[in-house]
Amino acid sequence: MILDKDSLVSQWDVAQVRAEFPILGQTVNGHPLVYLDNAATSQKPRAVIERLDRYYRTENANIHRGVHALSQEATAAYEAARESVARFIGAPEARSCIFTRNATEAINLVAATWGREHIGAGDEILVSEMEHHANIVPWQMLAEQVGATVTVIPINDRGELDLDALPALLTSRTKLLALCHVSNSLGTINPVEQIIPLAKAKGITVLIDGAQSTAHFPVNVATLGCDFFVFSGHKVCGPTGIGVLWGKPDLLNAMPPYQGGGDMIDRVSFAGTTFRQIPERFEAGTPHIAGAIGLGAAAEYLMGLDQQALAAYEHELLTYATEQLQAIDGLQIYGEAAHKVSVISFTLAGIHPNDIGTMLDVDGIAIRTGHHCTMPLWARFGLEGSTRASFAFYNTLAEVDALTASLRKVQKLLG
Amino acid sequence: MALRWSARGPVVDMAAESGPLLGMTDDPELYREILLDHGQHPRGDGLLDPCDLATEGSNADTGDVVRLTVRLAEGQIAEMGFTAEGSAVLRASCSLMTEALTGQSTVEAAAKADQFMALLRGESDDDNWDGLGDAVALRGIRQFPARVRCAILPWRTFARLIAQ
Repeated sequence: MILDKDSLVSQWDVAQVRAEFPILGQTVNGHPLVYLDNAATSQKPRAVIERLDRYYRTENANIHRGVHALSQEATAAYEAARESVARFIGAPEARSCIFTRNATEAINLVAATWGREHIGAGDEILVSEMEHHANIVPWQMLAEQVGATVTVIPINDRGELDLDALPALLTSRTKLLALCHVSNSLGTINPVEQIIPLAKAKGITVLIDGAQSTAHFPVNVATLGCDFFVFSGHKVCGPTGIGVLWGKPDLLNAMPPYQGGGDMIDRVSFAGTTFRQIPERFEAGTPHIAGAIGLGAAAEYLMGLDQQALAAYEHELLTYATEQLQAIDGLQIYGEAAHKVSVISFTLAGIHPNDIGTMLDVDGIAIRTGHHCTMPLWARFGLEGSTRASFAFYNTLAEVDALTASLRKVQKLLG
Repeated sequence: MALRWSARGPVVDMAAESGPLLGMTDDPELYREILLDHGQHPRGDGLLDPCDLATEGSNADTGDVVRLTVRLAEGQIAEMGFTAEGSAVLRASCSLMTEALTGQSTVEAAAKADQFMALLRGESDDDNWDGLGDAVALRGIRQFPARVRCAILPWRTFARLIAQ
């Protein structure tokens, strides 16, 4: 791919993009909102908000099995959203995209079904030191239940996976590699294209946590070659309460159901019950219909953006913010991977992140402080947590300046 | 004090105030000085050994941890010592608490801890800070709901210790 970065940055009309996000126009504490907490959740474009509104105003009905017009309309919209989501992650078949509450539930689903069947006493589940708690705790719970162990790929000081350590960790007992595509705390983009084949060559099943990658660049699960891929809707401009588990269809259909109830059954009798195939197999009960439809709209919105210009623009934001933050005395950035998304974690000497967060809030700047659900990662750096600014394609260079100006004020007062 | 509405309810217009977070409301400069002083030079810093009472309190959400030791003499709090892992708000609150409660009977001190917690949580009708000394400087923290639990932690930890 030949990238003429400067011309692409100039092609990105951030003012026009921002106009699509109504929330960005408001003031907080008397200042224009500077929203730099995008790794926690993204803001929502008009296309998503209006799609939710239209669903509830004109299409609301329960899906599947309804013979009336509204039910058929809602069902069609729900399944069309699945098609959009499938295209969004390059899934060859829409039926292999299961709607869940979020990435966390998707991981728990795999742990409770595939995990319980395929992981036993003495087996190993390999994760990395930079995982979100959502990709650690479900595996610890499973390991506890079945007598398996959770093993860990270490990271280096720059916040990159120690690839030299990897081969020895892919043992004959390793049944699963569960790895984040992008670190929510450090922004590191893991070389999953390089890692997945290593695991697959040893017959190891691979789950990729795409909660952070899907917000920043297009992914293609078919090309990646993983077995499972999960992400959350609310981090990719969609509603909260909706997420996706993608899995290879044969793998999903061979898994025992997760929750029992309506919609997921074939036939029910007191003599015994049979279950449907995917996707219904894993979507018991009335799902978050509006959420799925909203996520479909978010996927369409993101796919409609110029991906090259977006990537170049976010890179520009990251580069500029990194330079500006590094110029502040006593500011230490954690996560200096060669390949990273526009997420910057840092500490400011002698000042607690919670004090920084509150004082930035006074200036209308929303950032996140604390462990960001990656306590083992911060323990590795000898910290309790950090202050994290995470940028989206609708943030501006002027907002970077607002952040650094406010940080200098904090430092003057508390440093 | 300029009150206005934000998406999160009524707030003091901090933009108009010179001392955000550590000092606001009626006399921002005074409160800011008290809080900065206690945050940076906490009284009672360090655990007492020996001590009569010792305990630990924490907030899982904020990662704050407080360890508290108390020396008693004839039913009164003779001395308090603490360590605090957390923000300047937490350290200042620890320091202000040791000042406010030292010399009190345990019953009086527990009542003051309850009074402080009710004030910070907005559960007090009369906004009466009498008897809490310089801890009144923490009143502005109420404008930051996410930080109230930082300010309350030492007092909550103390109240639980006395209740035991």
